[in-house]
Amino acid sequence: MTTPFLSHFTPSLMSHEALEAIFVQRESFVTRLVDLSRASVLTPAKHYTLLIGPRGIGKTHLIALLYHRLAAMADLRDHLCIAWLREDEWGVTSFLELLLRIFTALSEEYKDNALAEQVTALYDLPPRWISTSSDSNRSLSRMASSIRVPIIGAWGPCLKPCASRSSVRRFC
Amino acid sequence: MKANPGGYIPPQEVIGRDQLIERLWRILGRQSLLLTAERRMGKTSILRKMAAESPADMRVIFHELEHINSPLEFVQLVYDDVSAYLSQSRRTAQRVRAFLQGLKGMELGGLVKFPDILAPEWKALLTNTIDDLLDQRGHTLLFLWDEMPMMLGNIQRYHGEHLAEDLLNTLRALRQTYPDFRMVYTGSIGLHHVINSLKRAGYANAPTNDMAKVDVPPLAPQDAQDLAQRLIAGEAIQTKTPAQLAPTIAAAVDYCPYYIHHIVEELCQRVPDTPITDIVDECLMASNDPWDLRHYRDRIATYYLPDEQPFVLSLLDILATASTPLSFDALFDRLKAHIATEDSETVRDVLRLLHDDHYLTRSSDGTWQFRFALIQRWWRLERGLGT
Repeated sequence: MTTPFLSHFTPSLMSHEALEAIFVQRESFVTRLVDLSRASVLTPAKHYTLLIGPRGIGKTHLIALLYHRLAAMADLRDHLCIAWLREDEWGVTSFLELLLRIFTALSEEYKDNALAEQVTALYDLPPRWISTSSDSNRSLSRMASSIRVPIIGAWGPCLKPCASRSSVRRFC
Repeated sequence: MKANPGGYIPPQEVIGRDQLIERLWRILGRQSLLLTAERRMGKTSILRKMAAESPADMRVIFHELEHINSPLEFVQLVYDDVSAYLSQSRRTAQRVRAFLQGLKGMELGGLVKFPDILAPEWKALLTNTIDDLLDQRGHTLLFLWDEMPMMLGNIQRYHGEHLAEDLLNTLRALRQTYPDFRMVYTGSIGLHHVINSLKRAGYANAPTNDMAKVDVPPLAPQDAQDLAQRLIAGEAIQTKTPAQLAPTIAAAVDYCPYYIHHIVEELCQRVPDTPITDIVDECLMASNDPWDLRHYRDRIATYYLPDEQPFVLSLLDILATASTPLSFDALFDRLKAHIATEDSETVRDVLRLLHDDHYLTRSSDGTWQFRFALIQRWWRLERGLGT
């Protein structure tokens, strides 16, 4: 029998099984998050959740579990894309950059080479286009509309270093 | 139906607004509309429901304007909406194309971004865009523009009062030129602040005096209970007192739909039959301000003049602790214990603004009180005025 890898600081590196095995107390809460995410995918209602808590309380663990549980649901597979931005997503300094990271995460998660090429092309835009962002926003809109299922984004505290918080959001 | 505080509520799940929406359609049959509402009252959900369930003879275009910072950006947004609409019937914005070709020799491609050099031409672009849409007669065209005051505030801040005034006047002129053209402006913090600010800068127009003004009230008690009951059922909340739970929730939050969603959401995480008053108390006191109530304090610095702010705070402090509604004279007497003033006219003006901003209400006997007991209680707690 092999010993599961346990990380003190990086739950995203741990397996689903290990995360479940060391998860205590918050089963009803994570079930609630899964229910709301499912409702966002399967019904017209759209739910948005902001998880707030002190460092080390288990926000990233919760998000990692949410990811694994949603990804394992066969009935959602054709209706949902999950963009999971890990704990180390440093350097996001604008909304445009956040959108680019989301598309990058999607292209990696779903091995979508065409999407990866579109993201790369956006990084090659002249700086002025990025700063005014209208043109790049249009390109991003086209990319988003080419993904014909809802996207759930989950990201950790590094996107907003001044606050200890994690977000689960639904786009589209 | 699941609790969904602050999320997207689908039109079919907007409860208790049918009569109000019927009234709004009746008004829109004859004139444009200024829809005011305290924040969290559900005005955006009402607009979305109207857009989704509009009469057959009405073309409706809905857009939020919070992020718009200039007249040209506004025209761009209207143009994009109009182009998308026209493309459904394989038409294009011919007048805008002709205007641009005549002006700068410009050609429009499939996707258009108006360049900054067109900023001085925003008025002609807007008029031509609306002309393109109104080419087809027989339908009334309705724009639902949410958070209009925020856009005007942005334009005022970045480009000056004259452009904000000019935009309001241009929209008014369009309403008067085209009999089949309607607009709904909405915003939680009133357009009156923008217009007052324009007046202080020397602009004396009344650019919305042709529009009907309607306030979105809280839900009727029966509708609020109905909403609470549907959420309780949708979330399978267990209780020993099923007949009392929905009415208790509805009354505890002054029949406001957003807070009803919040209470039921909280109940999902609590042990069965947690007293509703305990949940309300915790939410009012919570350090992370889950109901975003600090906005009621923070926005005073943004929207009221520095000279007005001490009056605003003192008047709200007095009314937050008053056990009964107060007449103007009683209120003014108590105010003088806080601020050395004999300026009753300024106090009357401030009270009028607080009324327009939904903090206060005035009874038919002329007495003043907080409009919502929930906000009155939060103000007491936040300001340390006792429970």
